[in-house]
Amino acid sequence: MAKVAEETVKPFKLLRKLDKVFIQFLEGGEEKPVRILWARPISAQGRELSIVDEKKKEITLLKDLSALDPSSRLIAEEELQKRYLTARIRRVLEATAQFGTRSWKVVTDRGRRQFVVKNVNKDVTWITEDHILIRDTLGYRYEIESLAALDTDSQAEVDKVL
Amino acid sequence: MAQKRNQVSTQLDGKLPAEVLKLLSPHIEKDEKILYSQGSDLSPDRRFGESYLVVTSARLAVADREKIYLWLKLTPEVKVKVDELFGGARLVAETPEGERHLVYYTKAYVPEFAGLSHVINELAKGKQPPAPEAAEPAYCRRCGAPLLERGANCAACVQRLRVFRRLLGLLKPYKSKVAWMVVSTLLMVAAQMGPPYLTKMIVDEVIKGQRYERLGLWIGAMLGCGVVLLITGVVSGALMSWLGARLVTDLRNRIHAVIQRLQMSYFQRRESGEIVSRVMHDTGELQHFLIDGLPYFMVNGLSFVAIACILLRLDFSLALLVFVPVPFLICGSNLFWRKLMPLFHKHGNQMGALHSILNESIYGIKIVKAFAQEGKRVEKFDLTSGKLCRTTFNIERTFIGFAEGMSWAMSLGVTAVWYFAASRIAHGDPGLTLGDLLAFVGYIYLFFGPLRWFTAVMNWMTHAFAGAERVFAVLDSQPEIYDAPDAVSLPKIRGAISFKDVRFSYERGKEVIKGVSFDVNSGEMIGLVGKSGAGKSTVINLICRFYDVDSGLITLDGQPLKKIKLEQMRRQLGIVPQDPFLFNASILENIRYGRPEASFDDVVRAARAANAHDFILDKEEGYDALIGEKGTTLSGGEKQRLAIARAILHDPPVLILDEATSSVDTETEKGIQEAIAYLIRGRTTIAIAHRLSTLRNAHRLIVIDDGQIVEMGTHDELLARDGHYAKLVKMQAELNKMRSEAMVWKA
Repeated sequence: MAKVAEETVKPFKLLRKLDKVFIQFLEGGEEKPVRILWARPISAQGRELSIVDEKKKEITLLKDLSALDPSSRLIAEEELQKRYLTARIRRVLEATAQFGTRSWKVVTDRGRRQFVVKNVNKDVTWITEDHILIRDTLGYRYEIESLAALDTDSQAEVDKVL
Repeated sequence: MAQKRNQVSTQLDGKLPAEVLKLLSPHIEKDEKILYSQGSDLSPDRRFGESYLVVTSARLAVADREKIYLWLKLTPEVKVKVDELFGGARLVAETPEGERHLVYYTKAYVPEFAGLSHVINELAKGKQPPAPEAAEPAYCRRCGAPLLERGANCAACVQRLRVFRRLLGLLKPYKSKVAWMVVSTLLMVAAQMGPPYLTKMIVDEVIKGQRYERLGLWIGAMLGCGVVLLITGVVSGALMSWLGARLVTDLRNRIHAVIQRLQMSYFQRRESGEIVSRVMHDTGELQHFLIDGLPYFMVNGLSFVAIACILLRLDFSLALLVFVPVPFLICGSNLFWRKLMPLFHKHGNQMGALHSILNESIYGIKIVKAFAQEGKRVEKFDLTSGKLCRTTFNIERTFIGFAEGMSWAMSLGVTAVWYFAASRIAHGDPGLTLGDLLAFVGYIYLFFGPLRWFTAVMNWMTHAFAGAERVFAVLDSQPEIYDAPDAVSLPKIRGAISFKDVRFSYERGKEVIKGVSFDVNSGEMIGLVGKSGAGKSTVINLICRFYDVDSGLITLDGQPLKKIKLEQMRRQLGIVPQDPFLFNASILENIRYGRPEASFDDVVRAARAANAHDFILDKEEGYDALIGEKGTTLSGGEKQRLAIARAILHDPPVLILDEATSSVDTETEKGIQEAIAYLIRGRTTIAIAHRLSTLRNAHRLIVIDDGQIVEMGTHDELLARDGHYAKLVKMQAELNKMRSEAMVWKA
């Protein structure tokens, strides 16, 4: 298998000015505003990330965060946390099926939330048998990192609707 | 309070909480005024919570109930924009010092903040913008639950009574049939009550009382009950089926008629499958319930009450004994259905998944084979059907357990009645006869039987009513206004079109047309050029008034488009779309679509002009050849030529060509070119084409990029300018060169 990020990119570092991230090539040149994106935000956050300029053109694709120097890495991590608003489900309080839709009440790492899922086949992605991603009617995503790691009550609730 | 807010705090209205206002007020200057505010469902640290963006006449503030996070002065250099994130978005302020993140929100508040950002930018420029429009809520205003789509009715808040009343309203034209049905249902219930009572009379009077002469009477009555039951059963069943079918047909016709007249934006937001499901599935579900569920409800509800009365009259204490298990039976069946419903849903989903795998396997068979992935497909199918098998078994097992359990519980009731009644009769209780005992046993089965389905029917009703509510929601949605009271009649359009600073967005906050102005003279051909997604098709949609502009003005012959009688105007537009939609009918009927009364000679003339006549005659059935699933399949070029013939016959003063030559090879294109050259004579034509050669007849070209006009002029003028258009021409020339080189190479 060929490694990603084979192409050579001039050495660079990331800067933050107020709330905006910039790329600065070490050999000089102007700083450019950039956005930092996961290449596989659903199945593999934490793996390949892409640095993209304001015109949506990629500057470089990195294997993972470790490809960055420590200070750039901090900036990238913070920026990614701000961009990816997925909530991780810690507890399922209630999951009910009615009118062909699924209604959930959950506790997540971002707090409590109630949401509705329209189509279980389309809106629920099983990354593995244990790792589930759920999209609600609004397009917001919830993640169950490990079904087995949830408490038994939560598991029973999930089993009722999935 | 805080606890409650955190629980499901997703529903926020436009109002600023008093706490936030109190925090802000000391900082508000004397001549400063709070203009707008919008709450977000994310806190500044992006947890589920709340934060508020407040717009004053001079500044922006971001705050929650505890703290003010940011003040930002509004100056002409400040620009606010939406930065879309994964699962939500943030408002970002571009200031001379750099960018600042203002507020984070989930997708629930996208339209609200998009509207507000527009207002803020106008304010910053020193203008006095109108207040942002209220967006349709994503949450139920009554219970706060998330809705299936913005502005939809809340399924949990379905008011059954209201829906039921509206359904009854639909029955009004069939009053006499309804009356007959009610009468026959009442008779049926009465006839059902008869036999157990008659058993008692035969046992007590004829057998024990030795009054043999009465046997004929009671047996006759029993036979009578049977006949009445038979007749009323048939009559009420037939009436109910008729009424159910009639009601659903009426509803379906109405919803189809309404859909035909809905605004295009309704279709923009929905998948066609969803609308089809509204028309077919939801109404079908309703029909099912009306024919099977409702009679069940009526008959069993009535007989339940009637039997209870009869039992109480027969023997009070024994009747109470029979009633004892009722709450348990209801609870038991409730529990059972609660366990079963999720299984049903699971079953439905797995069935759906299996369907789509099968679909893919068949439609994608060529690719599956080409990549030699048959084994994987089989594995995937087997896995899913294995799951389905387990769920099916689970359902059946639960069902059997329930049915047997209920029978057992009922038999317990019967045994108890036998025990207590028999011991009383044996001890010579004069208040109870053997006949009473037999009647009791007969009634018990009639009494308990329906109980087990009660919960199921209630569920069923909720489902059917939720469907009905969705249907009603479509019926209540806003149709296009065909004839405004002050509409202008333009029986003969000259075809002068003008755009004045037109702005438009399909979705709020995502402007597609950003201030476009141009004039088209009557009889002129205009070519629209630009990258895909630049907004060319949108311009055409606006000319056809499929959508109304957000701001600016479009006029036709000097009249504002909005003021022209819609139907009359559209009849004078001809469209040749990119993927011409042809109806399931003969070629002749398809060409005649806009002018059904056209003579065959006219049709042939149009087909000749469109270079379609020859290929039509080449079909086995000629002009009678059916197009569509059951008929002849046409190539892309043939379809387009038919669409052109359709437009020629329609003979509109304004013609719109949307990529009319996109799906054809070069040779066919020449034919179509000739057809188009004929077609555009003497009418205003707006044409979009990727192949610039198609536009060589155009008087003027308009180059659109990112929703704005970047260049306008004749082909030669634009080439001389060496701008966007010249670049496009060069690129295509290179492409053509490459193609011809490839041909040479192949040869």
